[in-house]
Amino acid sequence: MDAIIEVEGLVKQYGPLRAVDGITFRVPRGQVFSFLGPNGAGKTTTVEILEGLRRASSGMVHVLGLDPWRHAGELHRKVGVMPQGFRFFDKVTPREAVRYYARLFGVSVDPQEVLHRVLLEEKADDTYDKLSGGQKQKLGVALALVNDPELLFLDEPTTGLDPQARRAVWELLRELQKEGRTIFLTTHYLEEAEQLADRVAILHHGTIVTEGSPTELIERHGQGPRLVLKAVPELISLLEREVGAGLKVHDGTVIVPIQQKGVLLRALEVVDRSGLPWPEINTERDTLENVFISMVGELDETGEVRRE
Amino acid sequence: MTTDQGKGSPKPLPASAPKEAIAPEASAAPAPRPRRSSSGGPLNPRRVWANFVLYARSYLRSPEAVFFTLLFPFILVLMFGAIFGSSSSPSSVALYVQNQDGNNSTTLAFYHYLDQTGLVSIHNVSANAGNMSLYMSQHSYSNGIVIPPGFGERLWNLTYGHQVGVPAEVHLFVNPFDQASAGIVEGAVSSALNTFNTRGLPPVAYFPTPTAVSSTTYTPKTIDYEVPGLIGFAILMNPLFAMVNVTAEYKKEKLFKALSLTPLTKGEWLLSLILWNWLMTIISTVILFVTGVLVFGAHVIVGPLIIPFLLLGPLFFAALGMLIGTLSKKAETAGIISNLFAFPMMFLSGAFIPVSVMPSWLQPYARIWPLYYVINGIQSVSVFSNTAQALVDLGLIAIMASITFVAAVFAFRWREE
Ligand SMILES: Nc1ncnc2c1ncn2[C@@H]1O[C@H](COP(=O)(O)OP(=O)(O)OP(=O)(O)O)[C@@H](O)[C@H]1O
Ligand SMILES: [Mg+2]
Repeated sequence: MDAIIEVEGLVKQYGPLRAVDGITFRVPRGQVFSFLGPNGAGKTTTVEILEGLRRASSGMVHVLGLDPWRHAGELHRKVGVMPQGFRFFDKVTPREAVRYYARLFGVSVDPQEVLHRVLLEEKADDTYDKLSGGQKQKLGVALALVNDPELLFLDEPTTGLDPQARRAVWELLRELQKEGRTIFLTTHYLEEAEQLADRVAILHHGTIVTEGSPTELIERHGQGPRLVLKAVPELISLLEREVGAGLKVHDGTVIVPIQQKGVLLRALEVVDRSGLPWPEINTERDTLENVFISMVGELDETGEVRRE
Repeated sequence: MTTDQGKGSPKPLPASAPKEAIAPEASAAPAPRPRRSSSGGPLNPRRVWANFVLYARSYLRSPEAVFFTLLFPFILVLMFGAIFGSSSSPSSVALYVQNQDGNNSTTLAFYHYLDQTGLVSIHNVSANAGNMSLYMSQHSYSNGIVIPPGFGERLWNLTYGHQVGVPAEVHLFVNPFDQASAGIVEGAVSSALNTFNTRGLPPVAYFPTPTAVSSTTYTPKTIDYEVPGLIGFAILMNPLFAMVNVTAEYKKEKLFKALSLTPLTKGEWLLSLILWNWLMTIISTVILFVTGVLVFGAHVIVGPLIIPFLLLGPLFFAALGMLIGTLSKKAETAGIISNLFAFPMMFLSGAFIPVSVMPSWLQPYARIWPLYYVINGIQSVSVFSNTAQALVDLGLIAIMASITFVAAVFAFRWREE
């Protein structure tokens, strides 16, 4: 497939710290590619190298066929960027901001139209310092769109937003993808990656621990679908005898892998036939979150790995 | 269950999506232009203007900034004018009259009419006092007339006789740097002459071109030094602190990062801010001059040589501010450093207290501050009309400005390595 971003053996060294430690990946055109990782994983460092804002220590980076550091000017005309923690001039309104960007890029856009896209029309004439956190982020996305870029870099676009605003941004990103734009999205929200990304790379300590579509990752690293039931000891031993293979017991809970449909039916039949009580019965499958937690650990709201 | 729905193969960009406009730049240069990194390339006036407008908006919308730029110098000049200036303005303008025509009755009538205008208070100067221009310079008199011998007779002839052709002249001396009283004197003299005019046959009195009192013999007052001093203050404060704040704050808020992602170049950004500082400096200069002259009767010689000071001075301090802002890690540090620099400088280089008024042991220390040369240069023009001294000061400022500017541009980074 046609790759819009190609990275090979990318390293960024800060003194003794390898913020990015030899990563390799490709982003196919038209996809949403998500970098998922906790704080300090190296997401921003990588993105900013791709944007030509920082210089790689070593490795090969091609974005739209360009070396981002050497051809930053040319690249910036073709890509849209919303930097992490986007900020703008306090006393400037969104309408003026869009017009300003349009002048810088030498394009003519209707500010109203751009602001409408990000649902910021009503606030078009309020100064930046009067906007809410979510509205500020939306302006960041709006400005990234002014030059009608085929590739968008969004570094944690929904961090700090309330769930409603977050969903609104997601909706917008889906729209943008439908228009055929490629989106490079960094996030530490698992749900965000799961909802939006065609491909996810999990980044930890500067390395990509795994990469693929969310379903691929779940298949590759998850335990597969399973039946989980709480049961009395008699039922447990009955199941162990009748179903057998791969069955796990833990604290009065039986876990039956059900990759093959037959196993599920057999297990249910055993339970039904036994006439014994079963307080709870469920089927479960892994989410991206389970995979992420097993590989990196659990994250708190700010993207920090929880330590216990 | 699966979240992969609706994410099939990538679709091509819809035809309606690209709205790339006919950029003025593109139409001006249709040939494909090679583009280097974002910091290089030629300056694009459209982008410089866009950034200028944006900055101006931000600026004008913060009232404290407007206060410091425009109102503060105005308040300062009022304050220092009240301390140093001669605020008492006489109800009528003193007019020194040297009558070389004796007691001719028509001349005495002219005297009478002149007095009746109520615009001038007449002071007689002896006919033996010699050259009137010199006499006036020696006594710091601003306005005078000389009534030459035979004036009365010629005036009579013009008015009541039938002899046409020999003009009746009075020689008028006014100080061109005191336009207000010069205007009053001219008005009074012509009105007195016109009194004759209306009675007689035309044409009547010939009114000579005013002769200037040589400016070099005028003794400057403290307020005359004070106005350039406060202009120097504006040249120091506005650009220095504007650039320190902008560089430190943009760095903190990562605004440079955002800007570097647009086609705006470092040079364009810098130029637009310097243009803004020039505009602010010129506005404060006009305010200071006008207030000084109108309210306190400061004598100001507005020579074209003032303009390079108004351009190079802000350039120097803007570059200095940018250098301080760039080299300091934190915004607070930048603020402290620039204050440490600005405060002694404004007091020692004559912004508030003229250097000539300072204790003599302190005076040599004035010369170590760059601002001294700005103020001294403007004073050379506006007080003494001393072009040679102004050029020396200008040369020094030009050297300092170039070095600082190059250093600032060199140290200043859009992006990190
Ligand atoms: N300019 C720099 N100088 C030194 N170290 C840096 C610099 N920038 C980043 N780092 C370090 O590199 C590592 C990766 O940082 P980076 O900002 O890329 O993380 P991130 O994944 O974007 O995290 P977050 O989710 O908090 O944004 C961190 O340990 C950080 O401290
Ligand atoms: Mg980051």
